[in-house]
Amino acid sequence: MATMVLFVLIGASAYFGQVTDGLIRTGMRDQVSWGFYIGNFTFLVGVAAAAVVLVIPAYIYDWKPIKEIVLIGELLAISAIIMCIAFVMVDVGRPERTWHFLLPNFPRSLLAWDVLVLNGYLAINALVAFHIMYRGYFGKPYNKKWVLPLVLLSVPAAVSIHTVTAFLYSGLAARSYWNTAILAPRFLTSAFCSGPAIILILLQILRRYWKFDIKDEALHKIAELMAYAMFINLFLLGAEIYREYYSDTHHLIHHEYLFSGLHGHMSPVAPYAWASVIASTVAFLLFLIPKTRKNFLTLNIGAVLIYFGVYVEKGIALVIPGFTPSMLGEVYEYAPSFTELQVAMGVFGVGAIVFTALLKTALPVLRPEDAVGPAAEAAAEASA
Amino acid sequence: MTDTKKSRHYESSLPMVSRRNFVKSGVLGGVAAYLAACDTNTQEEFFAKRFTELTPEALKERIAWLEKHYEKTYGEAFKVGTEGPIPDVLFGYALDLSRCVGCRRCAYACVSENNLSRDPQVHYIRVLEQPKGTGLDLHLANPYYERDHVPEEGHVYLPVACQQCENSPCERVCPVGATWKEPDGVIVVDYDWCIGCRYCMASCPYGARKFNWGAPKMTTGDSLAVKVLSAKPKGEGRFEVIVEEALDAPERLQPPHIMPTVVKRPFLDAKGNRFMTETLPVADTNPAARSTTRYRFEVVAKEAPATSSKDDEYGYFLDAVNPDTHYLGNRPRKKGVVEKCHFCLQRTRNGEYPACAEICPVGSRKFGNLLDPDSEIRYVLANKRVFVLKEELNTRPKFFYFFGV
Repeated sequence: MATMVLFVLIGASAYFGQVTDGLIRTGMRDQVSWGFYIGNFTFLVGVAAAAVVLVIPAYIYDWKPIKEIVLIGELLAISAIIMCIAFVMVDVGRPERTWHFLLPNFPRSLLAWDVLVLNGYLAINALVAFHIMYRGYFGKPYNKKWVLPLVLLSVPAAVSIHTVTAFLYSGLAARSYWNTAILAPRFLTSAFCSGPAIILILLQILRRYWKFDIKDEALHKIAELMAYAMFINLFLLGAEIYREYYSDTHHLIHHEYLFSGLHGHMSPVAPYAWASVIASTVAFLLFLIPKTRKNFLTLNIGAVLIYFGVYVEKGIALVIPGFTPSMLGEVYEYAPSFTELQVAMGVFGVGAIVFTALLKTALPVLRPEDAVGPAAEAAAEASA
Repeated sequence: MTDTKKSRHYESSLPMVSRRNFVKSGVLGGVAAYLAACDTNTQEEFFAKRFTELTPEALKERIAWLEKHYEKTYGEAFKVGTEGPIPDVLFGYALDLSRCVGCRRCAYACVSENNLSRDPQVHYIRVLEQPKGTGLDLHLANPYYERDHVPEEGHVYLPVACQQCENSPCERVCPVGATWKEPDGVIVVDYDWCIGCRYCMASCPYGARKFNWGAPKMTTGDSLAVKVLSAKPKGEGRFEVIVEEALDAPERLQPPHIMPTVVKRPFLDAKGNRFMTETLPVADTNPAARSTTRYRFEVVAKEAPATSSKDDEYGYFLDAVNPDTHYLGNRPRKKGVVEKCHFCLQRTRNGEYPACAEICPVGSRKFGNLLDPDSEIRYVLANKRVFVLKEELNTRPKFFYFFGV
């Protein structure tokens, strides 16, 4: 926790410098006008959306082993959305004017839509999570009558946040790298990998240190779902690569920048791009084969590889090649500046603090022996 | 059990309302502290309305405030115009690629006319040097060429700025409606409404939108002082002036042999008198002494500029802001907002040519009213081989390229 507070302080001081001097403190310029911040934003939208992977089987099919962990997924979604909003806030040139979003350019701007769906998704998850926690505090079951419709609503809402974010990119005819119909499906499938990857590791930590009751079966089921998602994700990536390289038009240049480089020297993103593809493929195999899926060592290696693979895919390999070369053919080699790294660290710190605080509040609900207040009294009375 | 009770007591004794109030007052206090720490312009802007929603009275007040603010900031009287579109006028631009020599005078004329930042440098016009025979494969273009003489053999030059698209992606994507198309076809930005998200920059197929990454600096303050060698009267308050630039100045200019001076470019002499050039500067480099560069041009002034009597006497600072501005045009911008070419609204809505068209030494730039069948631009469209950039994107630019000869 102290480390997280330190991260936030470092991030805050770097952000203060950025506000004072302007975004010139970042590595972004007119040629590559979005960078690390928007990449992180895109990745975290996926993490937030991924809560539905757990929600769907838990509520629709009433699949018991996963049901308890849905709350954790929702808390993760809340923290991820807060980080998303923070990454947009640190990226804008005039943060004090973000209230102008209250007078949006509807319905034409996809960014205006994105603000709407992100906040809507945050509101739904916050309502459900806080309701369950509030009722749990008094030792009562949550009110199914209005939680269930909200949970069902959160499924399309989760799909919508990632779809709208994908449309935000794919609607730009000028950027051939993004202007592809399979961008939204790719976003969704990669999200269904990265979000659960975090949850997989998180649940094991909870289980080990807080003696939280989670069955192996639930973890393996999540890993199985991730294997399917990763297969579709890799397939879509392959389809994209085939189209670009076989048709060999001018538009190929962005993929060349991504995987090799231009004008005879390797681009700084190429090693990351290859590492991402390899990590995702290895993880897919680990999760596909039942033996490695059910072995916790290989399962955890797979989760880390997936997290890395998708983080690079969304954080680096999506944004930067979209801008390189620029619209007038210029190659500006973007790399995040120290300020950007520090600010991002701060945002992740905020996310971690929010998540820890939410989780600690929720724990008594999830684990009856930790219950405090009326819930504990009720439990004590029941046992007496 | 006792512990639980204690904690429950602790919980319930927490005054929730006052905590909420605490958070609320904290947030409000934070905003207030932020605004108090900002300069007055930011405070004014925070509550400023969108240009399109200002009532005539509110606009008048806003203009008065801005003019006062700019005068205080830049030390001279500013005019912030709000001239609206001229009825039955749709502005169009055509550029003759067979004439353009790539001298970049247009780019620098634009910088001074439109109060673009010199540090960091912002250019609305990017001149691309393209090897001949490569068509318009922009991936082979070089915007950073440095030549002693232009045009370079075997190259063509393609100046690119905002294409003022009829079907403009930038306007469509803006999340807060801070940019729009005026009835005369010009895409403008409300610098007080832009939040700096840069979505428009991602959407623009021509790289025409520029962001103020740092605080724009319109005067470099030091150097670029010149020595006045002579000032001859030419009647009607005009003087022909020959100046010599300071020793190290040419290196600061890109490319070095070009004088970044624009028609009607304002500048001040040592006494603080304002002079306006009215004709093209003519490069008159002294080949015997490569370290100095001479320029000859006309100025409009009440009295003759003082010539320097000593070798080390420099009279003119060429870096002055242009105080003749338009609300949606060249008025000073702040860091963190997007800006772009607006066809010199402050000039063109008053019947003048854009600065780039006026300064072009080879006459490759044609500007006019697309709705006037007798205009030069309509002649070009009807009689020359005309094309637009990235036609397949259906942006329908009002900026045309053609081969005149």
